[in-house]
Amino acid sequence: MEDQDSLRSAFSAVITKQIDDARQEATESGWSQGLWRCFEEEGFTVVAVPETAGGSGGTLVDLATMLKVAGYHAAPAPLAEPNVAAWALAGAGCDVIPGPLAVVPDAANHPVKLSEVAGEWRAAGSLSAVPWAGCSDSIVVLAGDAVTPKEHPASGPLLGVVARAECELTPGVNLAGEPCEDVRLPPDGVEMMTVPNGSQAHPAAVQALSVLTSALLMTGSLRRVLDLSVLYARQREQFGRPIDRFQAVQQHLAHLAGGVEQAEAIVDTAVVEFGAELRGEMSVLAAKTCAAEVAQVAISVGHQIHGAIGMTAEHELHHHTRRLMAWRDVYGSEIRSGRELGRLITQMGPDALWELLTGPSSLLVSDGQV
Amino acid sequence: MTAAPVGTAIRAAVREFLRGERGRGSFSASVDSWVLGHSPSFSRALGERGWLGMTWPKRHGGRESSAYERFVVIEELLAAGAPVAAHWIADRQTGPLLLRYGTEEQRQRFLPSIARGELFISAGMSEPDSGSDLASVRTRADPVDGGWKVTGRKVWSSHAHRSHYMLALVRTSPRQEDRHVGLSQVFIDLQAPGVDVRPIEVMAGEAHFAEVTLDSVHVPASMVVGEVGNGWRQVTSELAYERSGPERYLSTFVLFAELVRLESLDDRAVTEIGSVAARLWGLRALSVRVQELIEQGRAPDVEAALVKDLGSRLEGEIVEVARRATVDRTQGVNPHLRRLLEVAQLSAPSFTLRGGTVEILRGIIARRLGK
Repeated sequence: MEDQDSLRSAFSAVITKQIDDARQEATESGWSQGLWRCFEEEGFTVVAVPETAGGSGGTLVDLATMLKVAGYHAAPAPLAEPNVAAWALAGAGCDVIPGPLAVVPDAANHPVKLSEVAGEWRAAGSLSAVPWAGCSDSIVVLAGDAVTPKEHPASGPLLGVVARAECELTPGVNLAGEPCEDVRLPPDGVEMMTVPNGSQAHPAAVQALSVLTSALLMTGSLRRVLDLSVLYARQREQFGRPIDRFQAVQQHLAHLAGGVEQAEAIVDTAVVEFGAELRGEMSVLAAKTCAAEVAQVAISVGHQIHGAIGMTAEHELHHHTRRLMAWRDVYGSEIRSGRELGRLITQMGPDALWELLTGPSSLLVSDGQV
Repeated sequence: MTAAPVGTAIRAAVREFLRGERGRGSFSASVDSWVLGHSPSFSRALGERGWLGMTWPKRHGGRESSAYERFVVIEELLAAGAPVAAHWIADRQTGPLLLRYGTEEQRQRFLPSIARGELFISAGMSEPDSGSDLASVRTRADPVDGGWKVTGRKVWSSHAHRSHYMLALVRTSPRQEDRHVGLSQVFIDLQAPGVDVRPIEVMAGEAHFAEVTLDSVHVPASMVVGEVGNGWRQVTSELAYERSGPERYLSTFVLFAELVRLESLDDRAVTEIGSVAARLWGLRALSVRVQELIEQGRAPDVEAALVKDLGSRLEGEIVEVARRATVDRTQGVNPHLRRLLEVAQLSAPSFTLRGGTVEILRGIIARRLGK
């Protein structure tokens, strides 16, 4: 895990150097183009794509480490979506496309219609609340057999790329103030190519990776809220002593610390399992559920510890807590992931559940520190 | 990583053993089986297979297995609700304590019998006036010819009425400015003259707890563990073992397993099952990390406190999830599940008390955060 440590500190240094300027820029325009350009120049937007396809030739574990760092620093530029989009494109055998990319992992979750004309599939309609759509150059859209006509299904998953300039966007932002727009696709639709079955460019896999990225960003953010809260409680004095000397405050901090450790442990497990294509889906659902539940603890404890100052725009805390609010909802909330996980578990029964919890991947988990 | 194949083999062996025992009807799955399931014959059966004292040196009756292998064995036993209470304290904490602080004579005397599942030990920590504040214990040991004369009362000593010895924390010199000084650990022979053991019935209707009254009990000098006066440090190291294991989050797993099996659960129940499973999964991964730290020879007391705080609350939440999913159903809930749920509800308040209350654990965690 030594290489992850050095990746972590190197990437952390890159962001720390620019974070003040990037936040300033984001205050004005919703995101930082400067930080984005740096990400793109350094190859941070195509981490888990082979070099032969124009990527950086890294692994999903590398990407996971970087997403945690980006979450820790609340980096105001897209990192998850461009990487997921590039990973999907590579899986479909396409070369990397430059510019910020947004991604719609599964058109089934959107009011989109697929139709076939002369052997060619086209997607038309709307996409709702697409993260970073407004600052993207292109949007990658995936669709599975859930959206192609039953009597006439496609021969495999479909993937299309549409230029943002061709779409009509309704302005919008998420709770963190990051771009997140409704997108109307061009009237004549988007050309969709058929992806070979079994490729990673499958809506289910891209959806799972998207969910995992939201859990990873949250994990970084959770750690940051804990660190900020511990530091603040040590420095802030009331009644003549630092507030971390009060048992009521200690209870809050310990509660949060436990949640953060627990979330990191399951998210790290999910990274390993998703990468090894073991039981990616279930561990990703567990990771999202757990991280999003702890996000609620972090939002409430973080603000409770910081008091009124933590509510101000000037204070750093809201950059993290607002993102936690956005990330726990994106690509499906913990209610949805919990229900999907619960459904799978009740279908497979208790013995298989126990197998799941005690599987070999638990031994491969890294230490999870940012 | 190399432990994985070894763990896999031993896991399969334990499952095979459990299938056989269940088939013979030697036990029925119980919640909280490491507290409630007292079965000397089951303990002996585990001893015969080498599953007690697993990590100890062979010359002391152990198998020199890794901490992870022991972890695998006990998590399989707990998940099955197997009766492991009789040997639990001796295997979990007394043995490791003796290996760290005991004399060679004590190790020879106690460890092989513990590993065979023949010698059971009860923990003598709390007293009527010393609960969370363990350093305030008042049971006194006064020096006499050849040893000590011990007088006082110990309480919540699980299965003391069914055990051979109690390892008691006692005051060997008068209380000073620093309350942690002057404490020692001694083995009390529970058959010795002056020892009176009274079972305490609890709200669930059974009596695993006991109160032990010590009236001028003679304890030979050879029965002091470690250094006289070093008891506080020793007992704290014992607590890291006591707090980090899978019994701190699996006490109600058998109930959860029965719940998962139920037909036609509503949406809310299914969602809550997913949420519990997610946290259980994370907690287990965390617990494995703590085992690795123990294996590396570290004393991860904060990490252990963390596992116990999270785990004991999750155990309680499983009870509520199971209750909510079944309470208003008139059919489709089998009597076994109902019975597990009853016992679990009556036991649940103890989850966040035993082995250090949640409040104490969180204090330990908070004081060390960011340091």
